[in-house]
Amino acid sequence: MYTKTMAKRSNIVLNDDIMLFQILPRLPARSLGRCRCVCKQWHSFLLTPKFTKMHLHIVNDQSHPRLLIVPTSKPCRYFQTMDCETPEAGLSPTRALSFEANSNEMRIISSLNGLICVGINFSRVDTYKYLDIILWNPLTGDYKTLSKDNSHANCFRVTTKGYVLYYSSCDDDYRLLCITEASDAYIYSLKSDSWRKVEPTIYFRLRGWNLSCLLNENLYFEVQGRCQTSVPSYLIIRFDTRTEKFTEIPAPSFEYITMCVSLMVVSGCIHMYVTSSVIKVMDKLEVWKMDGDGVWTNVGCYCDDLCSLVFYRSLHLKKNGNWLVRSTHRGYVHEVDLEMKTEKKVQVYTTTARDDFMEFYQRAKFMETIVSLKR
Amino acid sequence: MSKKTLTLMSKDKQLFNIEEHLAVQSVTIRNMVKEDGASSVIPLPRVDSETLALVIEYLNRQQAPEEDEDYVKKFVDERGEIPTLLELAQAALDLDIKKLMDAACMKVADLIKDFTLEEVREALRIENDRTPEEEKAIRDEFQWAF
Repeated sequence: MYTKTMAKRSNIVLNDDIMLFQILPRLPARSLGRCRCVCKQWHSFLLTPKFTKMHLHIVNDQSHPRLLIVPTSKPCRYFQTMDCETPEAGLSPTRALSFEANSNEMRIISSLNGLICVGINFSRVDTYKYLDIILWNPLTGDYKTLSKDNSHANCFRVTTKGYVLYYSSCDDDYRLLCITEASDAYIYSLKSDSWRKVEPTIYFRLRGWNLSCLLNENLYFEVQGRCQTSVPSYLIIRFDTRTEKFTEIPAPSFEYITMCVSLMVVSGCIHMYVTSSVIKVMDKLEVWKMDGDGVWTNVGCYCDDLCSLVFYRSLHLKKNGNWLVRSTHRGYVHEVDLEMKTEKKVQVYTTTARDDFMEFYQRAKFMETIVSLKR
Repeated sequence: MSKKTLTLMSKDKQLFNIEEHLAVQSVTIRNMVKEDGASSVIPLPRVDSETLALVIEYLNRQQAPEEDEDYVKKFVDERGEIPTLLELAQAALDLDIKKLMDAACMKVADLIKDFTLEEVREALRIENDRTPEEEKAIRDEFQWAF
């Protein structure tokens, strides 16, 4: 039937409007690699920043994020990935790391648009410093070692409070914001391949800077506040990537000890994911939603008497509404149904019990994209 | 109340009737009607009759809004040949019928995403414009995609 149609319409005219601007951006990144080889026109078109932008827009909307996993219990030089929407399908075949580093001497520090930022070659006995920080596209294997121009030594310390990779759309530039141990802020720009210091508008001698998320060109960090009691208080810090100003936003307060807090963007709103332990009797997983600046509503709650949730870390909110979490106690990925209040194990990504417990894994959620590091 | 009918003319001069309130799902036709309500025949010089028949069938659908997404998906699934889908996508782009265009393009992308390099070239009739040496070099560069 197919050939018949082809014969009937032998004069198939490929229109650029359709093929280049509508169909190619809808292809997964891996197919685009093959498409670059199809003909010279496609090759040069697929390299344009305009195409990368169109493709990213569709990828972020439709593709499945993947979890990248690097085992670090023994030095190795490979990684595997897992589809976060279909974890039951298992792990991908192993692929070699593109850069020169052993898995136990690297640390994944941030991830965005298919690029992963990795600190490499640190030594535990030496100065707790990364020899280098690299930006890496695990799909294409493309990577770049960041220059140290104008950087401060503290930007490369393993104990740095926070690193976040973000994208500045007006400059088509990838940037890495770094909050040092001394609470100074530095920004690396891929375009200029150099660092510069930014003056914080609020003085934040805050302790832990946790996983952040990006919404409408603002970065949101969850940070541990200036706690006086045994119950830590939390704050949200917003960094406006356009004005480069920091703003403090209140976070929900908890009367009990929270074990893990992380932020995610769900349906255009910041969501906070909290696991807590209430006097060792019951573990609780809560989801809070933020409207405007600092107006919080509890939108989900899940209790468990198996005392295992305290070991959970949030990975991904699936399209079906279930949370994918990883247990740090065992190397399992669990799927938690917040409505039905059930959970099930869906994937194991470790081999030995010892590895599980010690959490000897480096991981990051990422999208497969063709974002290039050439600027 | 009698419903107003429009006549659309394909590239090969075939005429198709369609009720105006259905035809104006196409933004292009809506604008034409607004500008020049008197014209009785709207020529579509880039759309052949076979494709226009499909477009008319789509515009005439009687679907509840909540089932519309599924309908348009099924509609393009049933016409799963790449040349037909490309014509349909082009017509939907010219006529500015976004849902149909999106669905047709998504379908083509789904069909070709797992194709080998040769299959893509064959399905889309694209000639390889590289020498065997250039071809080898570029395949090596994008080894991760094969």
